[in-house]
Order: sequence, then structure tokens, then C-alpha cells
Amino acid sequence: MEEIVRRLVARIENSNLMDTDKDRLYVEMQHAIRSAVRQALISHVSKDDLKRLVHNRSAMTVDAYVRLICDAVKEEAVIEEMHQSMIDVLTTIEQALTEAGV
Amino acid sequence: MADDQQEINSEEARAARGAEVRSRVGERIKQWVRDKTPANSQVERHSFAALQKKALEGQSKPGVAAKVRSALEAGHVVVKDEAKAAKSKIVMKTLGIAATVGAFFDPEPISKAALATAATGITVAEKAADLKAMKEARIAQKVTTMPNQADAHGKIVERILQMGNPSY
Repeated sequence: MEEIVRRLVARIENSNLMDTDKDRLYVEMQHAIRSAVRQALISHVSKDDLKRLVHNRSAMTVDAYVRLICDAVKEEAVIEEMHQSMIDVLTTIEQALTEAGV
Repeated sequence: MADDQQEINSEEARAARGAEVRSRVGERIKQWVRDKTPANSQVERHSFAALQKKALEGQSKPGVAAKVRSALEAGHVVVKDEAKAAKSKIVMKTLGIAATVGAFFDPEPISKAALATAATGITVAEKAADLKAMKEARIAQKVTTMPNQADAHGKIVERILQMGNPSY
């Protein structure tokens, strides 16, 4: 994943785009990565635990929230899914840059 | 005079090209988000956002990110085995990003349509702050990088993947 990011940055840096446009593309990349991880994370959160927490405001603590995330990510397969999801979205960006001639 | 005009045209052309590239990349990301967002997950996304909003009230983002990261890493001690160094690095990087995601509020509304409109569902304030951080990374890159240095874009790459240390 890091390798794709390096490749994308090198392509963008070597283009004749303006620095402001380059920075905006990097921020889009960053947000796309975040979005990919968020989607994978939410899809693995326990629906029962989530429902239970949301229906009890006093239980909605930062510790409960952290525990919910940790439980969702405890399987290595979930981390691999997140990683793959990040690769997917970065590959999509790579294709878009190719189409745009960057 | 002619040179000045040429320069203006060239700057305009670059700006137009930049807008075109950003638009194409943005559209592809939106499409990716649309394709990957299951239609039946809206309830979970809303519930998660509601929990996140309440649980993180008054907390600092870096503080929450550190807390999530530390808890996540504690649950994955086994992958710190040196024999699995490469895999470990991927796992740790992914956990770091997951921790950052955990520390960021989901925007509202977060319907599938809204997600697609906002591409990645990031708020305007977050975008502005990330853009500022990215500019700083670029400046640092220019100041510290020697020509022909192997990792010529290291600081920018680092900033893109860092995420766990939001400066706002």
C-alpha cells in the first residue's frame, strides 16, 4: 500500500500540475484511504453491541467506543480487508491519473 | 509583454489542467465509495456516527487516536514477531490509520447519497486542516531534501499515511 502511495506521489510530483493542485490531490488520497478503512471498520462492528450502546446514552463512553473498534478489528482478516480496501481505492486513483494523462 | 501574456496563458492552462485532473480523480473516488457502500448499511453508519459523536464529546482527536491505537496494538501483539516484520509493518500502519479513523467524527448526514456527494465524507474543516498540513509537508520536503535523494518525496508520503497526528 505504501508503495502505491509512493508511486502516486512520484507521478504527481513529476507532473506539471501546480503545487496547490498537487496538495489537493494528496488530501483527496488521504481521505480516500480513510474512507476505505472506515467502510471496512463499520462493516465489522458488532451490530448487537452497536445497537445496545446507541440505546443507552450513559453507556456511550469513549472506553466503550474504543472497545467496540478493537473487537471489530481483532481478527487479522479484518486488517487484511482494510489493507486491501486501501489498495483498491489507491489503484482507482492510479487509473484515474492514467486516464487524465498524469 | 508577449512573454508575460504567454506566462499568464500557461498559468491558466495549468490551472485548468489541475481542475480537470482533480475532478476526474474526485469522480472516480465518489464512484468507488458508491460501489463499496452496501445499501443496507445505512442504519449501522448512522448508529456508529451517533455513538462516535456522543463518546468523543470533549475529547481531543489526537488523544482518542492514541487511545484507539494503543488498544488496537495491544490486541495484536503476536504480529510484532520479527520474523513477520513486513507483515507486521502493514498491520501496524493499518491499525494506525484505523485509529485515526476512529478519532475522526463522521460527517452528517451520512446517507449513501451524501457520502457520494462528499466523495469521502470528510468535512470542509477537516479538508482545510489537511490541506494546511500537506502544504507544510511540501515546504519541509523542499527545505530538507537534497537533489537525487532516494526518498525524494518521503515527507509527503509520510504526511499522507501519517493521519494519526492531526494538528487540529
